[in-house]
Amino acid sequence: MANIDFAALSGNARLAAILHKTIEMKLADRAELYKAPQFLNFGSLNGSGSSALQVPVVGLAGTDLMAAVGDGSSVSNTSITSSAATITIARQALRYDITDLASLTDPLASGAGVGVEGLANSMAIAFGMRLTQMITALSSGLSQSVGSTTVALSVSTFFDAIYKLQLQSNDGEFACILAPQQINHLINSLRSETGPGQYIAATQDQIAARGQGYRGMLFGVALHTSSTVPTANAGADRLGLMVASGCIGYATGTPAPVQGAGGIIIPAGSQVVVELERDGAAGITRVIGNAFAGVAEIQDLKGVGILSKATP
Amino acid sequence: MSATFQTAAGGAQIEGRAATRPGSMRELLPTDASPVFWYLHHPGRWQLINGEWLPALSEMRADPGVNRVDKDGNTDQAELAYRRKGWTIIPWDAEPGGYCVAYEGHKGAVHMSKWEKPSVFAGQITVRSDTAGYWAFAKRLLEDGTIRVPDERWIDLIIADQSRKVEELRGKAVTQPASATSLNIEEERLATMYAAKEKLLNPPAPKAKR
Repeated sequence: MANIDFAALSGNARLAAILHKTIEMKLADRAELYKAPQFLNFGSLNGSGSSALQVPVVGLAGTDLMAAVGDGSSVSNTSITSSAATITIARQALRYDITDLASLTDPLASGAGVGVEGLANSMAIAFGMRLTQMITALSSGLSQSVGSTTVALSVSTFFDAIYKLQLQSNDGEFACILAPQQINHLINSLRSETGPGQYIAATQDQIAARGQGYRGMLFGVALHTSSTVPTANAGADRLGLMVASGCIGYATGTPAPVQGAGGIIIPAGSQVVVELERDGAAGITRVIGNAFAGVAEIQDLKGVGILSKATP
Repeated sequence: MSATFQTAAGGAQIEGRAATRPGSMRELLPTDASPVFWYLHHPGRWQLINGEWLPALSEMRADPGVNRVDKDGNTDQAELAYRRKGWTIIPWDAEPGGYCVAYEGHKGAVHMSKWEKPSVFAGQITVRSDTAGYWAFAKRLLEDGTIRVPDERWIDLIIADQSRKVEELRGKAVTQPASATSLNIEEERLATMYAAKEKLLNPPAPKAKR
């Protein structure tokens, strides 16, 4: 009598492979840095009457100092120094089309897998990452910059950035966003530092509070990493940034759900509206995420670009 | 209506052509789409490159929602804001054939500078930088007057930062061998900065023709 071995059952009573009940997330940068307190959230433009928001930057409360005036002399009139930054929001969107067969065979329940729910749930972080990318893109427009092309980032250059901000009377906790390669160079440079210079690596609690991408505090600066930091000088360098609160601001808008337009999901705490559009004839569900966002430099001298080489 | 079917005596002349891959197998860059861009220059941003002060260029991308670029990617308001702050916008035709190049990517067009050469190996994108070509372009912008020769105070600010760095290293070099090595490099860099400043602001007079 033949034994009942695996080969005899394979394809009939045994499967070549089964799907595990959890999925591993593909390696990607998911650090949504726009929530850092240094980036000002100017709120939603829903119902505002415009797609652009003007933020007044006014020289009140100490910008103009009193001056000594002789007894009986007339003091001259002083005009207020003012400017304005404009944030223009624009549509940001992502769409997935999934067939009914692909969706119904999703072995993972409750939106954790590649099904309609899972795709809808992805929209919130997709928006967060896009907003992060829009913010880091602003490093190119800062008039102040430190570092040299094709030179590794060092502690010395990091201090140059702090000095630049301090020279302009910036205060509060600074935030620094660097590309992963820049962080590597900086940590390598830190290894040869002596003295009281302190790098306090992020703890699990801090990462939970400040989000993925937070690397800790270095010389009192909140250090973040993001792969969205742009390149510079024909790709030879990366251009990160260090900012004080109020350098960069953003505004958002959320499309109003339309009744009878199909399924609508609004992920909790997000500005994204996810619509489910059916093509019944084709048996396809379109999962479409829509949101509106705009970012802008509010005050140029509250930020400094950090340039260093892009390669190891 | 009659038709005449003719065949040459030697048989039909049928030309072959190189095969093309099906549309679904096109080679696309595995990276995010990126919008068109223009180079910008702020009068305070300079880099020391091979003993010369050259303009450090920034980028303005037509990215809707970023720094006044409107919903359709129109950069009019963004350009206006940059110009009011003293930036110079470098037109595409400053480089013959344009400096902004589009590649097809998985998620739409990817725009890079003509000095970035992307290629895909084993599914991963690598970008080779022609930095020599890029800095030659920056030098041409200075020579043809697209970017003006800087006020020496801008260069002095950069030199002051370097001087401070050298002073810091001098203090450390006594006790730290690594700092002593860096000190030599940074001192040489500082000397080059001064020489480059002299060359930029007082260029040697062209030789008289006989």
